[in-house]
Amino acid sequence: MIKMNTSKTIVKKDVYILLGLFFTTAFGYFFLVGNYILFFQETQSLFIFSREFLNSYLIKPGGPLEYAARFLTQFYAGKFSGSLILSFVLTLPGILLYIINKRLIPGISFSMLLLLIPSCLMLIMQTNYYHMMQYNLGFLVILFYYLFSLFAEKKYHRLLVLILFPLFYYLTGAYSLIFTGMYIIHNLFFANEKQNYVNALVLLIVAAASILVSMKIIFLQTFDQIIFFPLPVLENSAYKAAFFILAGFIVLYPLLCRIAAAGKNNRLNTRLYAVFSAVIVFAVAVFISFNIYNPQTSRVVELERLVFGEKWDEAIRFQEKKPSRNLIGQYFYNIALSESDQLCERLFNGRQDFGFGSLVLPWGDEHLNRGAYFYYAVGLINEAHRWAYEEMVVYGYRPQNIELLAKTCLINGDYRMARRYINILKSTIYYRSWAKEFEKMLDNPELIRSHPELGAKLKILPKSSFFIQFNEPQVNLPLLLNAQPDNRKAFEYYIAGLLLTKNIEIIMNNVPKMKSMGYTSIPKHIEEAILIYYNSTKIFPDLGGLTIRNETRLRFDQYFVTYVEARKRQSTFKERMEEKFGNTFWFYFHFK
Amino acid sequence: MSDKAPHINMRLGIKLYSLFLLFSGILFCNGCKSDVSENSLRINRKPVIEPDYINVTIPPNIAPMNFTIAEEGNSFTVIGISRITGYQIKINSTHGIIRFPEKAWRKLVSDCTGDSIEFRIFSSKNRKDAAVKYDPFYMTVASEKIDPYLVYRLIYPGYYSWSNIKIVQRCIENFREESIIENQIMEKNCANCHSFNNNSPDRFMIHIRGSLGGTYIVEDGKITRTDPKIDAMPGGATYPSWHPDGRYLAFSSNQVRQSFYSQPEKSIEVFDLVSSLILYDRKNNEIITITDSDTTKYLQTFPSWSPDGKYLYFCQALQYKFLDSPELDQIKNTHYNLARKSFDPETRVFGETEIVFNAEEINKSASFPRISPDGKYLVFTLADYGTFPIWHREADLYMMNMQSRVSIRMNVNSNETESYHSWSSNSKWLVFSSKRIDGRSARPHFVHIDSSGNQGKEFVLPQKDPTLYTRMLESFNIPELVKGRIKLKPRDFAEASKQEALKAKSGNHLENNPKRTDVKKDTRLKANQRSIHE
Repeated sequence: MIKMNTSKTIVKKDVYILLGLFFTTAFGYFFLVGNYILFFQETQSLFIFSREFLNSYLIKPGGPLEYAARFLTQFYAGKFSGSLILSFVLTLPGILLYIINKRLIPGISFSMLLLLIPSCLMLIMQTNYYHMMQYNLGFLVILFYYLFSLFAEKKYHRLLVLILFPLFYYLTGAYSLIFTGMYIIHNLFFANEKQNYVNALVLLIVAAASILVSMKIIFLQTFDQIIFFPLPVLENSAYKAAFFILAGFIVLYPLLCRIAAAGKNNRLNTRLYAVFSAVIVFAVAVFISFNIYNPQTSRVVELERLVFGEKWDEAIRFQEKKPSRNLIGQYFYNIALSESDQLCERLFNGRQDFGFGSLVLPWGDEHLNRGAYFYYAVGLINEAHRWAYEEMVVYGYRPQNIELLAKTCLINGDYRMARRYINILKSTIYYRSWAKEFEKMLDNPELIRSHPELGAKLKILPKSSFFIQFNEPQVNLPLLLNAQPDNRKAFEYYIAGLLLTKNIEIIMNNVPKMKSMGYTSIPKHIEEAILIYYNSTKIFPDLGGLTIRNETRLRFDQYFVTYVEARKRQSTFKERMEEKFGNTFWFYFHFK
Repeated sequence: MSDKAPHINMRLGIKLYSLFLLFSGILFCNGCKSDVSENSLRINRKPVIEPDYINVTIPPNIAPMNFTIAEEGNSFTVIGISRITGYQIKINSTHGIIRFPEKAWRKLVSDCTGDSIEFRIFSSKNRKDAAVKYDPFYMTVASEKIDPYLVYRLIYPGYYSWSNIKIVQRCIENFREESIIENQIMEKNCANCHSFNNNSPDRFMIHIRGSLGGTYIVEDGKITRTDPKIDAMPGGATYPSWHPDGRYLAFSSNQVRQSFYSQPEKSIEVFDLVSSLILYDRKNNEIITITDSDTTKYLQTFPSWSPDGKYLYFCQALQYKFLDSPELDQIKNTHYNLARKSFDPETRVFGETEIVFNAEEINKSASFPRISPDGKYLVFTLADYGTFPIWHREADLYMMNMQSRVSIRMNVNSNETESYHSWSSNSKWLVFSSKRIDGRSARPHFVHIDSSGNQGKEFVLPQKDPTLYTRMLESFNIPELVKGRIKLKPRDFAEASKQEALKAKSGNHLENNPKRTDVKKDTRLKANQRSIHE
């Protein structure tokens, strides 16, 4: 180890301030800006306190690391707790490297820069919402084990590093192989004794043996899983680059320390330089993190959060204020409209860029985790259940699929299976109270009927059976209306589909049925369609005893006048109409 | 350090002593006297236990029949007594979870073979309170053993998608479970039907579907990856049945589709667009058609050989009059009869079809014909319609006396689905899938059937943790009894998957096969979205 007076080059307080600043910035970022990442990751899996759940992570190398990551990720359900944990985990490499540096390169100003780089890279990588907690923990455990090896001064301590490596490999999987690289580099550049080279060689042999024994004897895993799990497998090239830089940085860290130590007499080896270089790196990392931030992704995930939380009005306001151009975002907006009975009243207050596509998602892997919401909204509970079940099979237990499975079972009267799903949620921290509330319904089905959400779904269940058309999901709506003519949710979805495909004639055929379905007034966009129909055919359709509101008529007159006026200036025609009438079916009909 | 050592030793001593007390509190074997019985209040009913093992008939080589007492209380005592030798096992439990020690259980069952075990159950709110004594119940121990291994597929009873699939063997004599196939190391392929030749662990086959697809045939430890599908077949080789002499395998070749119901009563309907029967001659690696000349008129499926190999039993229904997307009413009007054809193994010639059980006549549909190895009984599943009873709650098991041809509804049926079944090699035990526990997941149940056809009360496969069935979501799919342990392991099958599949040749002309092969699979579906039912 290199001995040096540290007082003028690196000050403990500076490191603490810098890491404190990093922690605060990271916390602020994830609490205020990148919170959607936490929600997204938390809903990717459900952490269950059970032996079976634990066992499922013990069957492969790296499984325990993933288990620990899942344990921490569950706290993302809380905005504060999630941001706190994540920020701490991101800051921890800096703390560990500070301790490591104190041992390897005491008093080198470059140390401050070195210790900050991994945390900064991890922060940048974390802005990708698929960068899961286990990837952070992976690097953390490498540093922990490296620290452990640094403190192993006696011979038998050093042996312990080698003896424990198979266990380390089992716990951390592929991350232990990154450590192997780091350890070899360390022994090559910090070795004072011949024995250390032998140690490096022995570790290499132990690592190879651990892999071989794991693959051939202990674990039923493929070669790829044995070698690469749980490393990230993202296709994003920028992310990949960041990952390789970080992995390379960690492996070469002992060498970098050696290089830094070589410049101990350099004039740049000062406290000022240490602070300055670290601040620059930190500022660049923060800049990149904000630059990478994708508001569109954030909006979609935020909408999903609101819809999953059944905060319909908030979801509607959010989409109208910060419109998502994404299919899924608009799909969630439409779900929120339907669940709050505003689909045909407010459909065009939000963006509608995908026609029927944003009403129903097609069957397939891509939409497996979201497609159920539509079926649940319209009361096709069996199909909603199927989608949730398929999601559970493919992606495992997730809060949204288990909740939906429990609710659909309760609605369908399948209390035995409902109990199973509720019991799963009871074994979690954040969904236990939800589960306990719904558990009461198992013993008292009357509570299901009186429950505002489940009771409403019960009332619109189909009264006769038909086969679901999953290749042409829109076909289910007329079939559903046939099986339950009073189902206003299905009716409005059906009409919304006709509005989005500009199929006015069929809408007119359906208007007379509305009064018998319990409508006392015609939703705004249907009124708008009626007026367009009347305007083009001069035939006023049968409204089945309902009337068109005066304000709609007046607005249509305004639309007509504005249309004639604005048309004179083709260059601004669409913009002018959109400005005044962008939230009407008329605008959609004429300009989209 | 020096002052810590005694402390550690003392702690260790306390732990060991506590452990000793715990064990001695939980378990008293032979010779112990029950003090609970003397001061107990008697309740004139049997206790509720889960699974329901009250008055069941069990084989003498069954694993401990662990159960949970679903009665109120914080202190439970179970005493199992041999009426012949007086041997007792006494278990105390605070949660009502009763786990019998294996060694003591084996002794108890051995003492009661041909007779029955009496179980006395006591419960109390706590140890100080007077115990409540329930009416005793019994487990009859049959003299005939059951084949010691059960092979099944563990899978979520889902629709299109699958993830992890295992085919496992469970030793029925204890709780040891081992995987035979795990799709984790086979590119997540779908492992489905498995079939054994005369319940042998040395000769069996497993279908794999996907990138490593094929029919993996095992004989004396050697695995051969084969591809019995030839171009003229309407679908892949599906439901298998081994000819008793091992040379032939009969399959149905099905184009499977599924539709989903909109109402809660049923979730899914799996049906065949086309299905016909084929014979795979292993000796010549040839596929031979079994279908009749009027094959386009019928759907034929679920082949099953008679034990002497002279008849092939199967199910047959009139072909639908639709193309790719049948209406619900059409499916509801599809009724399969039980039929059979004679077979000459020397010439490979089949006789004409004769109806064995006319299910259509009674508006029902038959599936899974299975004849006991002694040839006395044929058990089949009867549902209201269609060809996939596992999703039909009304599906029940029926047993036909092969001499009188009289069929009876078996006593083992419940309000939920009873479906797939297979016989033990000695014809005295039948294992069958039942969804009675939760209505969704199939669990293997066993029933004893004596030489006169009398059935004992059925029981579900015992588990080390008797609460397992209340948590587990996976189904035990296609339970098959096997005479011994299969020595092959998942890695052996993964290794065999590297073989190039042995492509079968056509053994005769298949022009008589159904012509509706133009109905192609939905190309929009990715590999893992194809139905697990295919």
